[in-house]
Amino acid sequence: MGPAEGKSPISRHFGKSLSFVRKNGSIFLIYGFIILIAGMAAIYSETFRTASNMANILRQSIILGLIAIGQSMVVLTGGMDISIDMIARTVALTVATLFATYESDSSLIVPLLFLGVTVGVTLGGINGVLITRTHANPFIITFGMASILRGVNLAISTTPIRGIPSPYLRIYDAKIGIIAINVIVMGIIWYAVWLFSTRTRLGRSLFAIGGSERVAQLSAIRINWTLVSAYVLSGFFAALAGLFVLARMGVGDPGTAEGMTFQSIVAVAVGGISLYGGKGSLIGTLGGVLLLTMISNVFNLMQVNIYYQQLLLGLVVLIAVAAYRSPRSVRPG
Amino acid sequence: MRMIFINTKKFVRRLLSFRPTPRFVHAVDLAGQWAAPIMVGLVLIVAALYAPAFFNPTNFKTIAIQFAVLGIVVVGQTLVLLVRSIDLSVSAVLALGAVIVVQTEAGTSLNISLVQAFAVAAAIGLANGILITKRQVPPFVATFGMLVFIQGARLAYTKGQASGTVPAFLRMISIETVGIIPAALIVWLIVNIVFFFVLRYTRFGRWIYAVGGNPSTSRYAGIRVDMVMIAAHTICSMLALLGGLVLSGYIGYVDLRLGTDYNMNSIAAAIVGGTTFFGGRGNLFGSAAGAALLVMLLNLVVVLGLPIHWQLAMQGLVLVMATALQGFRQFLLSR
Amino acid sequence: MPESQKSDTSGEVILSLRHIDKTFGGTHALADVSFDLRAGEIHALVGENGAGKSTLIKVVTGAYFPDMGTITINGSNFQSLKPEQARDLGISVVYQEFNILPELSVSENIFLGAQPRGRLGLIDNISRKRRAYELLERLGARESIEPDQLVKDLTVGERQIVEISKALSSDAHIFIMDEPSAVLPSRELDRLFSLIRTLREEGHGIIYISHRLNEIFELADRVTVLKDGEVMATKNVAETSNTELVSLMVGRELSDMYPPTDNQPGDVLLEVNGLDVDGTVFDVDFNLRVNEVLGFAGLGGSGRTTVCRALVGLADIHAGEILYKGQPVPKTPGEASRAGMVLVPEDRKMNGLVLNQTMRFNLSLPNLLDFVRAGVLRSRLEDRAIKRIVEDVQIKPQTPEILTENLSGGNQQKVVVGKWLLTNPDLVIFDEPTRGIDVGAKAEIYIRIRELTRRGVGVIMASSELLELIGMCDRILVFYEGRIAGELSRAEFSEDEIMRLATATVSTKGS
Repeated sequence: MGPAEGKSPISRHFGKSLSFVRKNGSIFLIYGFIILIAGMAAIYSETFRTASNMANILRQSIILGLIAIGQSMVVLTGGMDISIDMIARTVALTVATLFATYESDSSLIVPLLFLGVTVGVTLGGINGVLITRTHANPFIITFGMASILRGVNLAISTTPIRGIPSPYLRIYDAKIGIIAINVIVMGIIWYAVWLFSTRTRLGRSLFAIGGSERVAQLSAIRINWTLVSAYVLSGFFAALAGLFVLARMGVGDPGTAEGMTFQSIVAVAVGGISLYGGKGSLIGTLGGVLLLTMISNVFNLMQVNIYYQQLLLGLVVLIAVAAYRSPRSVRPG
Repeated sequence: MRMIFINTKKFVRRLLSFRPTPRFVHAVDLAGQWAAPIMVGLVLIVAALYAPAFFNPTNFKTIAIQFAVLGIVVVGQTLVLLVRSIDLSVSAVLALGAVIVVQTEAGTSLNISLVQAFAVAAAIGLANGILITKRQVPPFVATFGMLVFIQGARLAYTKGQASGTVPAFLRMISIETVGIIPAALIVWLIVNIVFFFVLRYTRFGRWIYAVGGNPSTSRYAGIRVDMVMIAAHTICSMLALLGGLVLSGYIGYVDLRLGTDYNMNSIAAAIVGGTTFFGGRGNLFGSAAGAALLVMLLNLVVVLGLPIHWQLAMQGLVLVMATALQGFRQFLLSR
Repeated sequence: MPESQKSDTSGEVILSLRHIDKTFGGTHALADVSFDLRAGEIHALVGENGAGKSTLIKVVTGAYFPDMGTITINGSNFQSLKPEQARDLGISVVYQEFNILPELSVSENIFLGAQPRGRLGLIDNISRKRRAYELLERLGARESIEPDQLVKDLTVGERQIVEISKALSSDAHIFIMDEPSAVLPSRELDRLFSLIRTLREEGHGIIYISHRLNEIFELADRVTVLKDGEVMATKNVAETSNTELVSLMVGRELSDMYPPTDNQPGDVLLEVNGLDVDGTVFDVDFNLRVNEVLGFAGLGGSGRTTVCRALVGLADIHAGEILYKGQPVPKTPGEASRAGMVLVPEDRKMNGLVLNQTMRFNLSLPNLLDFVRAGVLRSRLEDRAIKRIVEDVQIKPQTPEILTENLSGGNQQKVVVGKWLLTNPDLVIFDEPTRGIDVGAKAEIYIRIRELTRRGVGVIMASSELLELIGMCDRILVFYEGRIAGELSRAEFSEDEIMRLATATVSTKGS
């Protein structure tokens, strides 16, 4: 945009709306896609059209949603948390084991919820500290952490852990009409997270670091502190996801959250957060999560072979990856 | 009580405000380079003391073959790391080997199916290289995406079931022994000799170090940086395939869960052996030592009677520690 | 002529440097430098590259600690400053490399790390935008920049304004501007100037570094000339002239550092016609003969380096032709060097060396083909060639196994030069061949260059050191803003004349 001397108010206004569309282009794209696919599915499949299926989709999106939120925090800073699904699993299995050991005592529910969150936050914190203190590559550190945790999880249990007190299951089941309460709570969480990312200093610092660590540092942003917070947040949401899965399955499932790291990265990337960090929006991530959940739902309804689902996912990834544009290819102004 | 608290606080503050002296930097650098061989020695000592069964000939043969497989894959990974890239698709390519050979052997000769397998591997490596150089996708993302894609493709192709015993040829290059030495080790040796030679005595080897050390300077010096990187990735995938073939020969039948740890292990082995993520530093000796270390550690876990999931944890731990050490070393060196 | 004359008793002294001294290794970067800045003043700082301007600035901002001397800011004395201190005391620098995040909005960039908070501790967007608006208005930029715009959509000039607003927002009182006009197209200069004047009206102090003397006469109140780390003079702008400044900046005895110019130029080696590169260089025509040294002069960003890179195929040529030995020039650096045309690049650490490798590795890198027999590198061949070039170019120490990162700047540069000389080129392009190296190494490199021109090689030398160009070249092309402003033959060489062309100063000889 060149010098703007003498721009008329009309053209300025037009420029403003144009700029708004440009800024949020990827979000429009994603929600456009959702509407498109939902539309097509609704036409072809009666089951899809039902309200209960819609409600189902929303509830199914919670787990991926939580993990995608955690992943977004880290990706915004230009890193990635490969261990997020394993953290979720560790939390789920730990809490399940404790429930089982103490004979499904219902009064333990609240303390164990806190404990689960603490475990997630601590694991995330370890990631963060390792990465900031040693200046190591975040991909590899979280990659390694993922496999350490995978081993730990196998050590905790290779079979489902029974003994979850039934009141706990209400986390998953509680409904008002056909809308599950947890969906409403999730909606609040999405709003809160969006607010965090746009209206708090810490949230904006994540963008700043992703944009340029150097510039962020010069603006007196505490890099190490912010980075550690990103990973702690990631662990926090992983813990929530794990606790939620526990309520859904009713048992401690040793396969909890399998493969969800990858799905979360796809949701985040498809939703417009650059894998380099520094730009994007949580609204986009929500779109990505909804899109993926919806596609999976459609596939299930159409009974698509699970292997083809995998293939398709991989193909989508490759295309997304090949369509990637390095930020450096943008000409400076 | 209060005294202890104050002391801890002071201690922590000193720890955090620690300023590295040149001697410290040098020590860390050396540690980074010699870590693997030293730790191999340590593991041998621990084994001798606590787990004599470790040195049982059958066990040793197992270790040798596992080491050979990892050793072959790590050569490719080292090449890729040297050019400042990384290859996360090696585990998928590794698993692909036996699948392709078994599936295609039915109609054609073994030779043709082998050629096909290598062609596929080369194509994958090429694709990786092109994504990274021409589309400027970050190597981690590109190869990770490729990993998922290959896994999905393989599952779709085999419809989740793959079976059959591997051809005798594969067994031959793996388990059959020449004297007491398993054929796998000989394959490993050949690979290492070839690539050691390439890295040391050919122009291509120099180009690899140059591109990893400073791609811009290499470009100014007339080196075709993109070609070098694509070549490195192609070689890496093909070596991963070879490793997979040897591994399948050892196992004897086609197993879909094959080789999932080889990603992490090949990276960990290279890093422990002194290769850096940043490119331009590292050599095959170190990587081989790293591979030996990893294989021995994993085997030790089994021999000591520890549950199998310790293996996974161990792998991850080695990777994390090696990466942390390397990152730290890199950081110190760059100041 | 300056618009508003301010007497030199306006405003108190807000920054004062007294007897500052700073030495790096063998180089005396600053020698007994005293300098002061007043409130409500634009104080220009001029000098050649390497005169000490950036060292001085780094001392003021706390990036360097002076070896001797005191810094006084608003009455408090310091032996040295830490960067946080400098910032808190109101010192702020606007560099050519902007410290802004393109993906965030203008107002967010201005208040990065210090965003105003409102209810519930959440960031108050409205308040922030309002304050950004006010800042932009103060700077007269309200018309063209919206606080909501993403910085990546702004022009360079507008980004600069954001950068300056950022400084203002942190209550800066002392603004240091490092060649701010260098990155701007001419149509945005007026806005920059009025902005700087506004800062002055508000009572701030501005240190303005620039090579463009006409700007200094238009903007500044006082000017300080640095040369070789010393303050040559501090004068009121109204009481001096262009000529005087130039002679203060450069006047030196042409030392006998340069070998005698006894080369005889021969046939035409390189012909360039109508060259357009990258959208930044236009309409460049020149020839180069065998045994000739052709100089490229000009300010930073004037296009010298771009042309050098274009010659070996490292830049986008949009139009024009280049004929090398009568043939179209090769398109890639590899082909170019095989054809005998090589470039010794400007930044040896980034583009000239693989620092973590040995001297031998670096020296042989473009020459590997010479050492290969039957596909294999022969160390004996390599050793011999290495030994020869190390002696030739006088690299010290002579052990080829030493890591280049451990060499001194001068020796590093010799390695870069050496590796290209080893290819037996016919045309060597030097871009800043002696930047940042000690006098001894400089002299040795000059000798090598002269030797080349006795052996049938053509040389292009791009440099910002005027003396070097005058001492070594047969002809000099002066660049200004991507075009050739003029060509000087040896008879016409003078530092004044080169500077005049390089700064597009309208000739007012004798004023």
